[in-house]
Amino acid sequence: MELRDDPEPMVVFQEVSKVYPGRKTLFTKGGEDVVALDRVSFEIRVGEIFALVGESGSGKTTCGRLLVRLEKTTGGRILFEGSRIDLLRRSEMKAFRRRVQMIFQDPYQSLNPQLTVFQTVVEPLVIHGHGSHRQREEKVQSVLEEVGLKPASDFFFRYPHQLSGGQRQRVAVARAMVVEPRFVVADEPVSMLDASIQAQILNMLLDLKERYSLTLLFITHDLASARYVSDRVAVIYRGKIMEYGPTEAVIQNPLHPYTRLLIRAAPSARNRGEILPVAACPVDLYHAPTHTGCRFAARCPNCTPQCREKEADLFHVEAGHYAACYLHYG
Amino acid sequence: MSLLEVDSLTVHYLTAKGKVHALEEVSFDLKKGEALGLVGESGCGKTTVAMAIMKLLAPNARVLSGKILLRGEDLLRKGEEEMRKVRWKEVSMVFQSAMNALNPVHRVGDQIVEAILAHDGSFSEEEAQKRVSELFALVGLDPNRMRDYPHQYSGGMRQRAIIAMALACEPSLVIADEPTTALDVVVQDQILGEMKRLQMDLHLSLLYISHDISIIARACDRMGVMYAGQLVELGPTQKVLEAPLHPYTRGLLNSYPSLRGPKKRLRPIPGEPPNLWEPPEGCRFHPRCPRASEICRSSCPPVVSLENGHFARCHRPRS
Repeated sequence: MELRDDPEPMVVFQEVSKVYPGRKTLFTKGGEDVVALDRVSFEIRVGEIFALVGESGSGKTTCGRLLVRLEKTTGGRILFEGSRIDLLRRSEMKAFRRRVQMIFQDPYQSLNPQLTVFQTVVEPLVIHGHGSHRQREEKVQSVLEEVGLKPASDFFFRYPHQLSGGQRQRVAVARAMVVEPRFVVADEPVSMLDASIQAQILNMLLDLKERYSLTLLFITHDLASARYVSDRVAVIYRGKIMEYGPTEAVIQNPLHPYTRLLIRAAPSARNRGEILPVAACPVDLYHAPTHTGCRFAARCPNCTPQCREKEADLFHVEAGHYAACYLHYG
Repeated sequence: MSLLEVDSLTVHYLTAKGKVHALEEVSFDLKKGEALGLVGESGCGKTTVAMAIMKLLAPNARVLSGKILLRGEDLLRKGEEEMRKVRWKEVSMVFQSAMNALNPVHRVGDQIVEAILAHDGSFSEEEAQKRVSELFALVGLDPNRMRDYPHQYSGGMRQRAIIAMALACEPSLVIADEPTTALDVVVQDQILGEMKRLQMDLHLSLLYISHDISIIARACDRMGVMYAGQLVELGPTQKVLEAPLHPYTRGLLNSYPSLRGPKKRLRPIPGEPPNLWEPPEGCRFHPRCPRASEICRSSCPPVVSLENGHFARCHRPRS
């Protein structure tokens, strides 16, 4: 199914699938294949922040990894600025690696502990043969100040272990931004940080986006931070996009029962919804019966016999707002 | 009378780099059947509070002053032998890394049976089995799955099993240190609901510890906010959230994006928490505080109460 409402999107996912083959071990005869992504389609427009929201194991991180070519698709195609990323030649690959950058979840693991801040941030410039030594130094200085590490020279010779978690994530952002990418994949960039530092980093991402008209894929499990930063959002559940549209429309008027459940379950400090004591009934989310129908059927309050038979495709409901649910079929 | 009373607890850690001022004059109380939450960022001392109550502090910790009264008896004066009787039977704990708290090579039910037999001599093996099956039902697990191994459980189920274990010896107080941190929101919501039900049904006292103010907001009747080793605000949850007295609490509340209401730019607290080897002079929050004045830089603020039961450690609390 085609989801085209922007003539020249930055990124297009067309029916992208990723299947990890079941592995044969000493003890098993080869397990079942794991379908991490099941015909996922969406597009990311130039200059927007697009959020991908899902629980653990939903496939959201796989999307990011496919997009920066850390992994290969097993079906469908991914276009970046109009060209298929799986067909890039070696020479094009280097340019692609410069234009597309990634920020990871855990700044404690993504930075090399043996490199100073300066070495970490200058490395991509060296790899891409950017400017003279002097120009590179100036560039590193300006990008560090940009991400709030001021004065930059105070940080040049520090090692990751001498930085706080927030400072480390700023260094990781600086390293991504230093090559002036067109597009950044940020995979849970704040989930390891304390609340007051999270807000600082989110604000920084918003500022960078404004200043450089950057395009961002923001991957998160937290609907509230997705709402805060993104223009559009896709909600993914067990490898399939359940709902997709302008962020405010999705939050204010969620169409899919899964999105509704996520919004209802999300705790909030401001509006202190009382938690309702639940009935003592056993739940087993991870051993749901294998389905032919909708993958959410077993948990869905609106489930009908139709849902158990065949899964709904993403369906355009209103102004760029899609849902994969029969509730909204015309 | 309160079930638990922590009075002016001060704890330091001795490290190679010097003395860490982990807790400074922390006082609060917890009533029977009440849920109290302590919220704060990493390194604020909230887990040290829990460990001090359980008397499981690291060997380099020094309790400099204070009392921890459980039904009026000071736990700090108890020896290891006496504490063994308190742990599990009086106070039990749901640990932060609950995903790893179960032994992978033993059946889940057997592990809880073992805990019961170890702490309560009056049970026979058979009675303990029966008790575990009751506990499973109590926390929403299928008793038929007692003979499963931990890897056969989902994250939420393991967390329920851990809660069942904490309830095994019918304690009056359960300390839950980040009980839902590793779980997805929907499962988190179910677990919190489960604990709320247990609190009401068993008239249990709960001490929640979390970095996430929204969890505390949902689960607790009263809440305390910790910053850099001090309890800076304490009061009924509703009051603390709606009319916070301490500038840190206000800053923290402004740091969370919300799903409800209009979208507003977040105004996070500038800077980062201090290191506790050399905490700032005066109020520990003054370097980041928008309201700091001369007195905040020079003298440690007293605990003031503006309304009944709502306290703040601040020279200039918002009234």
